[in-house]
Amino acid sequence: MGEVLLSIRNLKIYYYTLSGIVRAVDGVDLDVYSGEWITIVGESGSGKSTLAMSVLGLILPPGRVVEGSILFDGVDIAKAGIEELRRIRGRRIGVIFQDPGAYLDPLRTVGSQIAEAVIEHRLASSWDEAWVKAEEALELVGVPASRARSYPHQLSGGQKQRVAIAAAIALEPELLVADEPTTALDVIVQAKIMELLEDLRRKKGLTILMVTHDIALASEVSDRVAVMYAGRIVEVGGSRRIVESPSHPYTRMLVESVPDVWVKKPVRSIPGDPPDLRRPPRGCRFHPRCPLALEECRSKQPPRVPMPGGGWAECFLAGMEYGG
Amino acid sequence: MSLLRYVAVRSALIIPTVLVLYTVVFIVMRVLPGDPVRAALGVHYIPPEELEEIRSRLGLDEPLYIQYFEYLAGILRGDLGESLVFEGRSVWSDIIDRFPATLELALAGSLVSIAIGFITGGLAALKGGIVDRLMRVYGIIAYTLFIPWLGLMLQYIFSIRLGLLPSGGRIDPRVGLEEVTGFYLVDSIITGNPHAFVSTLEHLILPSLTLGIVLSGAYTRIVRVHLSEALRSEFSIAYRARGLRESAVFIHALRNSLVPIVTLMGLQFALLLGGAILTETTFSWPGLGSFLVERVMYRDYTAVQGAVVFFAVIVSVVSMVVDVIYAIIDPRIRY
Repeated sequence: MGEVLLSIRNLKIYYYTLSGIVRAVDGVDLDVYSGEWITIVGESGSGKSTLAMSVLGLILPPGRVVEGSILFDGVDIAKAGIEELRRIRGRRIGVIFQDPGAYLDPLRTVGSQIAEAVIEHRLASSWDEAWVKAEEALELVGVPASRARSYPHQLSGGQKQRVAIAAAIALEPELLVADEPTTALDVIVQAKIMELLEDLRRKKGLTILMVTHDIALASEVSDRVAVMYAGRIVEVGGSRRIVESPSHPYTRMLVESVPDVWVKKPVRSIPGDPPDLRRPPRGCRFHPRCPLALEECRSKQPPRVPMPGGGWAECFLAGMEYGG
Repeated sequence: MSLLRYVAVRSALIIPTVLVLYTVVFIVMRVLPGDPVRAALGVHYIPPEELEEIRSRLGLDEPLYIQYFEYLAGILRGDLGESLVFEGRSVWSDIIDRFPATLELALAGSLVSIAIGFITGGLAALKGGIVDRLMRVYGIIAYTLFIPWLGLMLQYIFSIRLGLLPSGGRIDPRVGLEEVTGFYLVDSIITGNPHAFVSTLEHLILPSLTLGIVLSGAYTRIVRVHLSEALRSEFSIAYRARGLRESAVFIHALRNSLVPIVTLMGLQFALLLGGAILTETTFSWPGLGSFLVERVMYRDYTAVQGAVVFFAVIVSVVSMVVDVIYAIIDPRIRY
């Protein structure tokens, strides 16, 4: 593993809504190493997208970073001013989103949207030069350069996501944040987009921080997986270890809930609902849904137990033998 | 070329619009008590034979359906007939005479309404909070104001109390202006007449402010809604995520919010002409609106029918032009 590129410490992001304070991210620690592909897995409402957006300093009101730091190359993104953020956004940390169509301006050609950012970050001195860079970026992601003159509505879903990736890549960022990049696409296109990201990572030395609800996808494509539950990361580890010997009961249940195309077995869902983040449960947040919950899980925050081969799990039972 | 086809279809649709409006006006005018002959001659006693003679000379003794179809045939030929009250005066030339005044007022009024609408709506979308609330209240109040009431208030404050601006008319009658186009601002520039220009402007301020303020309410609300939506939209987030300046994000958001705003501009045009009628009567503005009101009083059937048909055609053409403008702003729209 390379050196630490992004270091998140004790991050807390709360949404101050009329119906109460939503603790979307509540004490997250995470290191992202240069050159790796790390994926955050969690259910909807686990705070994973909020965490991803915070890396770009894009937490919108009523959300606010309440505590903690997001260190990227010596800059604390959680406290950076707008001008400092603008120099990092896009240029050093790129992002692609879940619904590629919505994140493109419907009224402008995709080429001009890419070229505009290229100019903004002074990666080209003229519009023509920026346009050429936009076309090169499109070619790189497998979209014909002639498509630069297309409007978003003239492209398919997969092409739109490729265009979004091109828009990110054109600015030559070190880190790419991918927030559910393939959730809106079918599996065939999903596989192609994943291949493309892996290819870019190798060619460009990119670091990828992906967010998804799909643990199977996460373990397949990434080096490391972080499992998020109710605003906290409950387990981190190498993706192989996470699926083969999960340490946290939640991770285990997530892995078991993945349907298998080859083996006909009943799909096991996780009983209960994710907690209301306005009133998260005391102690371990998973205890109301956990089949193994002990008495102390109800009152005490479980310790972070290091796991062999790197990573940790936040559970009283982690590292012990237990039946599942 | 499908745009041409679209324009052709839309133009063809003007015909039923005009037909319906003409029919409604025809019926309403005949249902109203009084007739052009009595209205023109006033309360004096007229011998019945004489009355009959005038009526038959004007064609008013014909059965209604004949009158209806004769005038309709005229419309199709582009002939709006002659006034029933002012004998020998062609309705068409009266309309053409009066229309520039209305258009000048309508354009000035919509300029004012769009300017106020964008400023108030834009502030509301950008600042939020208390500014947003104030602007929304402004929007509702402006929208519900009654034009003659607002006109009277402005006349009272600026003409009577402060004596700053004239309370009616288009130009100071002492200032001579040679009419070329009928648009006084244009004419005073063409003929190089600064006094006339200033006087026209002075006379234009209060009526266009009255019309503009009332029509701005709808703009305030629609600009606010669509601009703040566009500023919060996913593509704006994507622009910010690429490190664009907020000013650039604003421009792109504004352009996106323009599509529904242009729709409103098309819809407002009908209101604009309706508002112009009320404004014109409040400010004794010699336009088509006061012409229409005056001729309704005289029961001048042909003049009223002609003016309404004229309004209908203008509104239809403008809404068609607006639809074509969409296609220019929004590449997704193709006809």
